[in-house]
Amino acid sequence: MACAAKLTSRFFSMLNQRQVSGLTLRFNEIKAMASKKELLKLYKSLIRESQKFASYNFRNYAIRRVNDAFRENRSLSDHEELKNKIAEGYKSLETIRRQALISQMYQAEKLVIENIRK
Amino acid sequence: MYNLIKTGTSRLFPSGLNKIPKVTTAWLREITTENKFKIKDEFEGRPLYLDAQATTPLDPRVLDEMMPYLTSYYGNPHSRTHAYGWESEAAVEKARLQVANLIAADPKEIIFTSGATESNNIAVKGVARFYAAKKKHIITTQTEHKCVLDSCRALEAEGFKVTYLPVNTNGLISLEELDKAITPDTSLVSIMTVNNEIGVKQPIGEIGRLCRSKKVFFHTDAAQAAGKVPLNVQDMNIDLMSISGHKVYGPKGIGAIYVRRRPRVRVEAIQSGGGQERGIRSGTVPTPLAVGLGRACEISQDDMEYDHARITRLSQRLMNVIFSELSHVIRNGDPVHTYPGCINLSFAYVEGESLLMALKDVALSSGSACTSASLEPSYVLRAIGTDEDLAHSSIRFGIGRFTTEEEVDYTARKCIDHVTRLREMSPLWEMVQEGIDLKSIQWSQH
Repeated sequence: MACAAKLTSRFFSMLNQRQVSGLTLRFNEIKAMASKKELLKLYKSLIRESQKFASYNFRNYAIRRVNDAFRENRSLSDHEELKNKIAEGYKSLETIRRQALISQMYQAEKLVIENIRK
Repeated sequence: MYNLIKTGTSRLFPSGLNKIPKVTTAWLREITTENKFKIKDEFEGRPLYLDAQATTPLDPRVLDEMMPYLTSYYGNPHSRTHAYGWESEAAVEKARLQVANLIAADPKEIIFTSGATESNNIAVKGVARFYAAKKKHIITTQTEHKCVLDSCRALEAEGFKVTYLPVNTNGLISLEELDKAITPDTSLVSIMTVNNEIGVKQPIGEIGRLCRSKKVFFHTDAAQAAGKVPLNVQDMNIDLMSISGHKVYGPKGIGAIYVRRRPRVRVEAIQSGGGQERGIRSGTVPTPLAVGLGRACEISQDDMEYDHARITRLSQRLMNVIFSELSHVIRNGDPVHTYPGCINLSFAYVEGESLLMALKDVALSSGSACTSASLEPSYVLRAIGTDEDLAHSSIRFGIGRFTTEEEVDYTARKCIDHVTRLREMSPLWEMVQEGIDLKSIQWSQH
């Protein structure tokens, strides 16, 4: 991951030096695709970890919040802003991981509606 | 499951034999599912939580921020001689900034307390006592929280004059009456932002402007409002404000008070001690709790629009179902100037306590948690002129950040079923159906 970032940044500086317009276009496309793949990966892990909350309310909230956050920022195009949001997402992922674990350790009884559904 | 076994066994073995072999549970469940639709239906699992005005669950993001200060970083934030103290102090100061940002204040104007009750005490008693030599009059409303009213009672015993402003039938105060009540002797006006029982939102901006023009300090109890509706102490001319941690998905046992510095508001401290928090609230600041309150305020600020939109939607959903299927339901308090997460409904011809007993699988309240032990009707409802019988039949639905659509639907369904059932049993309801006006009846006196 870090290695890839280093490579792309070197590639980018190379491009700047040579000013090849055709290549720049191609490069931006690749970059967009890469970040799209990365985003999908982040999204999937956020949802997967959110599902691990033992508490009904926290689980539902986490999943809903992740979905809504991605929907909200769908049209985000500014590279810098996107980078910040992704960093925020990874930070949230760590929080969810830890808190889902705590939620599992101190479980309460299931709620009435959870029992009815099953 | 645990509930089911408990109720099941206590019925089978009244002597209190609560250890039964596991093999019998399936058989027990069969018996109870047969009784599922009986009047006193047993339910399996924990009740749903719809009492967001009493308290809110701790947000996992808040706990995550607090954990390091509950484990590794345990220093006293007031210790100036070592790193343990410095790191705690830095955390407390960061939290102070987060709280200040929520209400557009300066961090120096935020003082950590044990909760909104303490904040209200400091504000009301502190200001009144400090300016006692010059001014001895205080104005508040009849629908305030108990801690403000009781602080005022205490001041009355000390020789202060207190005006308890009446409210209109929608729960809002009248600005003309407030204007008339302010005298040159008035030192403080204390009016809560969002009412804890009926959710009514007072015109804080207008009240602030009026108080500023008359040079009277304005305190608002924003325990139910901070983090839920936009508040700005500069635009709204607020001089003192109380905030509670556990109403904004933060930890219990912490709150804050905003005390304006320019123009300066002085308060007499209630607690004597080490002089922490600018001498206004002595005692070590609990670092983990302060950090929790700070983070809770930050989340509420970031997500205010998101949460508000969702709570409005859920609140509409609940009311649509209930109002479409039940008649004679009255919403207490103004329907427009209100916080949507607090819905106070009166179900006519149903006794509120019996409805609460029937709705055991939903955690609801008939009003304030502080007064829920008494069977007296709420003083807030009496202040807005609700009839005695309707005041007795009120239920408060509190919707919060973690409430789901499913929970709202379940609550509405259960509520409708039980109100219908209780009404069918009521002779009063029968008379109403026959077209008899209950108010015209002369009940015989014995």
